[in-house]
Amino acid sequence: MKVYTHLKQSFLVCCLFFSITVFMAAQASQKTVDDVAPRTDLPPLPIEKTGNVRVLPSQFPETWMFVDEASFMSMFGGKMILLDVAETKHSKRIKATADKNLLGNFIQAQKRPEFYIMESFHSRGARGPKTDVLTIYNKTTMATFKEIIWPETRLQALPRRHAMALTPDEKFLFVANFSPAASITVVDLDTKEITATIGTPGCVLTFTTGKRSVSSLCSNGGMLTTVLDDSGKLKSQHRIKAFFDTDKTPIFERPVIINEIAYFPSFTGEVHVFDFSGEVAKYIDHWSLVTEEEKKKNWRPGGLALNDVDEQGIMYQIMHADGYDGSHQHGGSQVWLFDLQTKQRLKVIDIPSWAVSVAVTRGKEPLMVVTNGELQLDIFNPRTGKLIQTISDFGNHTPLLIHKAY
Amino acid sequence: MNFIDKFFEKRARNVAQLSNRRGFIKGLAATLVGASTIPLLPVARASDAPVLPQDAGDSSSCDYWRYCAIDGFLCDCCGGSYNTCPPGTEMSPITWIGTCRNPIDGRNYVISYNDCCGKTQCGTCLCQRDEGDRPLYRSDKSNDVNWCLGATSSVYHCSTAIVVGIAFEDGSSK
Repeated sequence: MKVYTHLKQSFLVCCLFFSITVFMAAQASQKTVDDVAPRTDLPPLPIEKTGNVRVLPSQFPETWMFVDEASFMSMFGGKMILLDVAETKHSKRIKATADKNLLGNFIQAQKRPEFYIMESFHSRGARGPKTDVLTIYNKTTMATFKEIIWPETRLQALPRRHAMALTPDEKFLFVANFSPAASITVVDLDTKEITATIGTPGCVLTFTTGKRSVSSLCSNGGMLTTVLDDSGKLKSQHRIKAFFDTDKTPIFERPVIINEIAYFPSFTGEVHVFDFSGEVAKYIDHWSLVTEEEKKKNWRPGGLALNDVDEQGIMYQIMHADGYDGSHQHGGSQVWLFDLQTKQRLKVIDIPSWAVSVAVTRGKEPLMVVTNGELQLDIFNPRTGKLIQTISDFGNHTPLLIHKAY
Repeated sequence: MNFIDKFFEKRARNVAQLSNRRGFIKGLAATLVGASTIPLLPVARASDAPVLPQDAGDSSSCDYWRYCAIDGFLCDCCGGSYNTCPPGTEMSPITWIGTCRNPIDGRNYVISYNDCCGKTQCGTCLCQRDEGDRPLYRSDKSNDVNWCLGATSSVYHCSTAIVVGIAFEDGSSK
């Protein structure tokens, strides 16, 4: 009896709820009818296919860039974000993404429809055996093409443009390892197989040199060039004598490179110039970014990805005043533009929200992209120095490095 | 304002909200008055009492002297201390070093910034001082590397600052 009473009460509650629902639906329906009268004379929408996945163009527009979201606050969330930095409509800015785990490294080919991510995984999140893997992506589908399980401990550090390098014909890929013993692993991109791992004692990173060589910066302030044969194996190694003092006159390991000439800024504003066009790297000379007057005010280069170069040979360099020991990674309030041929400063652009990293798009009318102090992207017209727009809310937490996209 | 300043400002605001300036002055005054009332005993105290090494400063503050070359999350804020990893993490045996001056005794010490590994980033008390930091070509002085490469897990959590020696000037025979 008691159960029956309970069921009866439940039934009445259900009826009441149903009545309210029907009433509300009717009201909503009435509102729709009032707002827009349905065009029942129109043909119905066509049935759509499920499973559609967008494919990207074979040549990316000049204003698209790969943003390295390092995910410094959570090492599992790193990714590359392909972004149109000229797009003003928020919903159209992101073109695609690719995951990049545990501070992975990135490089894109220009002649092959591929890009490469060197990343690491533990089998159970932060635990379990670690696997380093080179993931090869198809750039138009953004799908993984092949994974090469890595035999060495790859370099895991803050993102940079020269943790990997390609030979000019893109036959071979160089990948920096660091365990902390330094070495370079070579991948044949035709066969997608590793051809060699070559020790580079005391020397790190990968700067493409000549047709089959790669150079690395050394702890004694010199350079080491590793030369391959045509099968991708070690042919010879050459040490270039020290050109700076790693304790007293340190340089940034982040040069701008154009037409096979590399420009390495020092902590205090000297620029050391290297010729990477021959089989072995060759030191050319050095010059200064700062005048004597600016030196007195301690104007210095600084930042994470602190410089870039456009296709016209203009270098974009983040600078800060009142520099001191330790300020070299803190960014700056201005970006200085230099003509690398004449060594003349062309322009100074004030950055209102501070600059941590800088990059420029491809083309004759490039845009300057600055990772600002709020870790958003400020887009400037470098000719006028005007801020065009600030881009945020695109999955950015720590977008520390930006690459040109091809 | 750069992104480091942003973190520092947030930290400073937290400290300001949790502390009371007048209370600090009152406490300091009480300590000074109390100290002045301790009788000066007619004994050669200095010769009897052991002279202990001294360390001073707030080890949860980025200004703490040992952190002069650091770049990372302070383990002191993450369940550990300036020289101890938080529970459940593993200290990487391979690391980078800096040279920092202890303001109490005026000596320069070699500081080893061993990372604590095996859990994802602590996410608070980010501190970037970078004094004496060098790029990757001087890996012994480079804080850009994820030094958890020497631990079982390469997942970085926070950084310690351990005194591992006294630094001598160049040319010293000691």
